[in-house]
Amino acid sequence: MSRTSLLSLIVYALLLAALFTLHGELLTLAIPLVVYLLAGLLRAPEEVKLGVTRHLSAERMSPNGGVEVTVTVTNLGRALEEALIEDIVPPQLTVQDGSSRGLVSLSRGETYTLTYTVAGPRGGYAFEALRVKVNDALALTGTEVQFKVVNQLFVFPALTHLRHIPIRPRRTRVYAGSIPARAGGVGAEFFGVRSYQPGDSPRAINWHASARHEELFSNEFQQERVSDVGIVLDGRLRTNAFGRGHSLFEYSVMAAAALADAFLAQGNRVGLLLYANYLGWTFPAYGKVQRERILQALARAQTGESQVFSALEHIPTRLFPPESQIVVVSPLTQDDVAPLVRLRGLGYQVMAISPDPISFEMSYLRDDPSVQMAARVVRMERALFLQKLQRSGVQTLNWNVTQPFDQVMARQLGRPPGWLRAVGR
Amino acid sequence: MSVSTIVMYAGILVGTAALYLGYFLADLDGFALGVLAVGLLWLLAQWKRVYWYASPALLAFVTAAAYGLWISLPASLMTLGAVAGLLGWDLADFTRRLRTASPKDDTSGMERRHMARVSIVSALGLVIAGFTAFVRVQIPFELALLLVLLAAVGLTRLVAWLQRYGGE
Repeated sequence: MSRTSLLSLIVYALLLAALFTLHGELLTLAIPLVVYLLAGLLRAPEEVKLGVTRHLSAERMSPNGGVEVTVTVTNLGRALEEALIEDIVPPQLTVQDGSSRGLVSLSRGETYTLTYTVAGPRGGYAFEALRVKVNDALALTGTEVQFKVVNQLFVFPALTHLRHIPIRPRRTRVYAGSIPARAGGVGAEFFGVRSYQPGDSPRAINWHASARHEELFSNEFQQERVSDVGIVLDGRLRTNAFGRGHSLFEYSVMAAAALADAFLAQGNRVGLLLYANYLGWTFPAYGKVQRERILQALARAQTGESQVFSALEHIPTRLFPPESQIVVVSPLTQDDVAPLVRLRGLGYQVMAISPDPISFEMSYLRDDPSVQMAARVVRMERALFLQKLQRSGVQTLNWNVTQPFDQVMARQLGRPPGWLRAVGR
Repeated sequence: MSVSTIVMYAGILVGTAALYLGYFLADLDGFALGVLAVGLLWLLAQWKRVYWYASPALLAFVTAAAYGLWISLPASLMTLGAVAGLLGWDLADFTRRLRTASPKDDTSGMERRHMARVSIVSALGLVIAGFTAFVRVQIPFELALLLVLLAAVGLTRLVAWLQRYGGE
């Protein structure tokens, strides 16, 4: 029951009681209530006219960061006795500092500024409206108004910077890059020897071969070009979700972000496919704008379950240019071997980055002999199917998520240091 | 503790004391203890931030005051009890609203303005009520009925009009 209704009810009850008991003194009891009621209602708020702006100190942030939100409210109408201004913060975000609401009296033309800091987990968030509740001085009448002010905030996955990732797709694009193109031309790595042609640099002449055959030969180097890279992020619930609410998906997202960043930094054309309860496709492109697009898609990425996409066999290969590089980021199950081998058979160069679900689960399960035994069994199973993938020509990386991704990548896929290569290890 | 909280507790205490005294002096110990219980429970509810209790408590205070007037207990104590209850009820809601403010808001200014306003309203109510207590007019029942009906209809229309155009 509203405050006005309660007071009105009491006043009417007193009036009736005075009438039926023929006791005029009861009316005197109603007088203070009537005075209170009229005093409140006389200054009831009229139409609320406010100018509202919201400014975010950054539109993108990392999961550990904070963004300062500044809301400015200017009263363009008549004075407001009491206004509760509340910025509607997306529920996943937490207010770390300050407050997202304030209680103020706003005279005509007065400006009120609300400042607070929010933080939250990975995601794409929309700040959509500001709620203003205006009361009269005694809070007998109130009006609630929502002002639409839209801002977006992306909390990107934590980004680790990877060094050179060695990929060798069969087909490359025409632009110069860092991927060996299996074709002679200008480059750094030796590719072959051919007859000297006018215009060849004298420095390219292979003097040993020329001396042996009494004809001039030139060295050819392997061209280095950019390539098409398709990153497939496995968001299936059945591969990512584990008991007690644990999930490997955040690690997969982090790995996908790091890979996309590294491939784009190398000048490649990169696309992202989120394979969950739907197919989230970020069309391939180059450069910083594409990096932004991919990071936004990764910020929004969620796991999902669908009967159609329960197995990797429905990866739409038409999305990826023939003989390009496909990088699958997935914890992988035994059922995923065949679809990946099929991709390899179609001519794609496939790399599987697999966050290790066994070491992940072992990190929070109790240290028990039966658990250890079970872990040994599944570890052997996993080793077997990863080996099978490798033998099929799929470049496989088993990532123990307790170790930093960049270090694991550098150790397993990076070029060994020069001194190690010199000793033949 | 803010001024409004102190005044709220004071209002509840004064209201309880006035009504208790009125009933106690008339040797109606059962009613006096009932009023005391409602008042103490109200204080406890405010302390524990049980906000819904204020409205039933105000209803109980006004009912007790009305019954007291009907059985000819001192009008000054009964009216004081009801007005103090009204003050407590208003400030209970005001302190609740103040808790939604952010630490940087000018709550002391709002508090000052509200206290001034509610004090004037309460004092005005008490003065008018006190003045009308001295006015004695004998009117026939039919006229009284007509006046009450007119008052009810008039008040309803006034409240409705103020709700619609009060701010202009």
